[in-house]
Amino acid sequence: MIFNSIDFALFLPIVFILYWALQEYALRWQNILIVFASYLFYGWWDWRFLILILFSTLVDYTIGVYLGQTTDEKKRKYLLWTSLAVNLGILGFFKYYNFFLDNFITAFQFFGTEITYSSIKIILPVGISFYTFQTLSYSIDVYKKKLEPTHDFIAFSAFVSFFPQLVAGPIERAVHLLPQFYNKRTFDYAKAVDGLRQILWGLFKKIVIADNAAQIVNDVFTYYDQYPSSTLIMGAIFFSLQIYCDFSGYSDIAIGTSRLFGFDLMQNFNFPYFSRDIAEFWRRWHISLSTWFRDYLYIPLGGSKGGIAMKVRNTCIIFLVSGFWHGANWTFIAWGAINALLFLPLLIRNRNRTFTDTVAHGRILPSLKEVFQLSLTFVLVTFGWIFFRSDTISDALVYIARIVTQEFWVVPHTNLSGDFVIHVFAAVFFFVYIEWVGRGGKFALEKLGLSWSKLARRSLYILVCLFIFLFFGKDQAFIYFQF
Amino acid sequence: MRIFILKIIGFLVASFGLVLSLVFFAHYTVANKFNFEIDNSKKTLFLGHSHPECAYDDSIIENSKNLSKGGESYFYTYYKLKNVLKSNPHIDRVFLEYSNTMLTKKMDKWTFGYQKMNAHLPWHASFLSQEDFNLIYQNSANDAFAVLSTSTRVNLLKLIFNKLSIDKDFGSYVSFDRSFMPSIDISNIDGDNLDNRSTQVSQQSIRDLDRIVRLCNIHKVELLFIRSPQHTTFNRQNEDSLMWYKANKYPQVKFIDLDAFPLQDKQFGDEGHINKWGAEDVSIWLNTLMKNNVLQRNDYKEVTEKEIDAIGQ
Repeated sequence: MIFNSIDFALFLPIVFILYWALQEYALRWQNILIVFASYLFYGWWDWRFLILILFSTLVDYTIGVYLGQTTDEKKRKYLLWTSLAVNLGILGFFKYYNFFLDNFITAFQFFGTEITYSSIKIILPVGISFYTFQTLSYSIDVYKKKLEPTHDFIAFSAFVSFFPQLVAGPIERAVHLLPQFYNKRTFDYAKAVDGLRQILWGLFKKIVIADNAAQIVNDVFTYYDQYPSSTLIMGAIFFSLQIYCDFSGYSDIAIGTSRLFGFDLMQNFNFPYFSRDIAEFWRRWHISLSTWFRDYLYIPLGGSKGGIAMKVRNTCIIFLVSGFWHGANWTFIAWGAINALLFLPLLIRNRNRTFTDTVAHGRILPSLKEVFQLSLTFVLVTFGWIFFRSDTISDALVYIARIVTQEFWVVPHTNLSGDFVIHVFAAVFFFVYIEWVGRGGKFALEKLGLSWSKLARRSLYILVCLFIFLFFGKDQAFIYFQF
Repeated sequence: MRIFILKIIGFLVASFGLVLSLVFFAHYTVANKFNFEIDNSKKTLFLGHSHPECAYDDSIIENSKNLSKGGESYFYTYYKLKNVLKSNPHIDRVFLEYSNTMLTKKMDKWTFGYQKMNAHLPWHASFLSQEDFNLIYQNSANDAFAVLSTSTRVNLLKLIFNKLSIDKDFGSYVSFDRSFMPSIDISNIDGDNLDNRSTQVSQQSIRDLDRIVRLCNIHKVELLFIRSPQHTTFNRQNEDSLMWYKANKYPQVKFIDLDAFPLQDKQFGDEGHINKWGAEDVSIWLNTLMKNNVLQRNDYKEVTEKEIDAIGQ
């Protein structure tokens, strides 16, 4: 089931009403409903993969219980490694098996040895990278004694499978989310309204911007060998918008939906395209993954304690692993490497924390210097996205080469209707305006209009609804589902 | 909680109400205000998909207007013709593409598939009959809803920018300036095109073709089927069905078959479309044919075939 579908539009209110109807009863019933609804939500794609979630839940729950029972360090380590092996083993098999096999064979062929083999057709379970990391966080935190192991299997199942963030995050830390399943939830009007606002803005980003930009992006990246430089630049910019609106749109809907059920999820995006350098961008982009890698990989590797060489090494590892996490393709690894290269100069010069506030805070417009910084950061990030979007590294290199060598001073054109492209530009203009005005909040609509009259505020929300209707297309899956 | 739900319902009702009003307003106003008139001097129309779109240069063929549009099935051609004939009584002849692809089952996808529907329906949604609307809705309610939103957007913007007359996007001659290189391009053709088996005939296309024939009869407009030139490598699927329907269902409709019109490889843009150099030759030839009143003769078929053979030699 995807958020921007009719199925979900029916599913959500039914679960919502049932959930709050149960608030008078024991907390356990609400958690049972969440587990049931989450399994239904996930099984809508392919019920067979529910077995994987159930297996992962059982393994980590049992390991957690045993970790709580023993003080023997050797045993505890053994248990942790079991959790890592099972979770990463499942992830590795479903996501990376064919990648490693193909590259292994290619490497042998390179040295003149022919190996006959047959790759297995493996269907990637939706969101496997997300829930695997979430369950891992539980085992690691229990092992590190940051969290008491749970003895409530239902609450733990609900934590692993919580439907709003099951397939594309935010990747929650067990320390933050799990305790919320132990506490009584009562309906909070303000929180629910806030959640709805965030859902509305998430739907706008996904349906109006991401899905429509996708049509332009798909055309440009498919026929990139036929287009002039200006069109290729436009295609790359639209992909930057698409990936942001697609993924942050999902996060907004996930966080908003959780708020409807009385839960607080962590912020996943903080207006990343309003960053003044790459370091700031990475503090604002996919925060739940960046902080996951920071807590469970960067710090255990030694973090920044061992001097500049170790900092550089660990940073490179994080970016490369992060790239590889996105998919079994060299393009993602290249994307990670490019971002590492862009980030390192700031790290080495100790300038990776120059910008920690909101750009142009308290002002309507940014200064010229800030405009330059924002633009430069956007250009650099967009350059990296070309690798992320391309099918192969050579496609990306040719794409970039054509940007440099082909004609620039021509009006960009695609195989799509010119009017359609203009409509999308108009929607993007509205989107950027709202995002800029609302950049002080956790999401653009959080505070925007709160001081206005009721009529004006509701008119804004209805205008957003109108945009959603007018740009509604065939429902498309979220990009990050494939990761 | 109750207040929350009531307020949500209120908001949804207001939003839906506004959306519905907008849908009706946009489509109703466009239906009443759109001007389908074309220049009085244009007596002949060319209609069909991308093959005729690239083949007939209406700046060469006197008194003609090419309203063909890439990816257009007979379903949308019917609505286009209906409105144009209603507003242009001076039109007395219509050339309609009648070629292999037009009758294949694939045309159902061109009529009801999201991509093509999204490209064509916004032009005609304001004029759709209840029966056809139901047909589209039954094929895919989700797609129909998605296209309805595109259609509303497009029509609203037509109203806002006062673009309420026929423009290039409605249909026009397209100058294709690429040259076909069979040795290179054939390898790029997808498997579907290389498949020479006869495919099923689209009954929807036949139904729409019937409507077009009836419409021309009602308006007393001469309808001619025309098959635009196709490269020898082009897959002529459904050839038997194409000829069978012509002979048995539409024997009264004249058929100008330019399939074998002698053109060089370099006069094709690709296997299915001729380019601007090919279009120039074809258009000059057709213009001469029309000027010499060959199409009015009973032996038009023999004469045109002879002429085509003569050019080939």
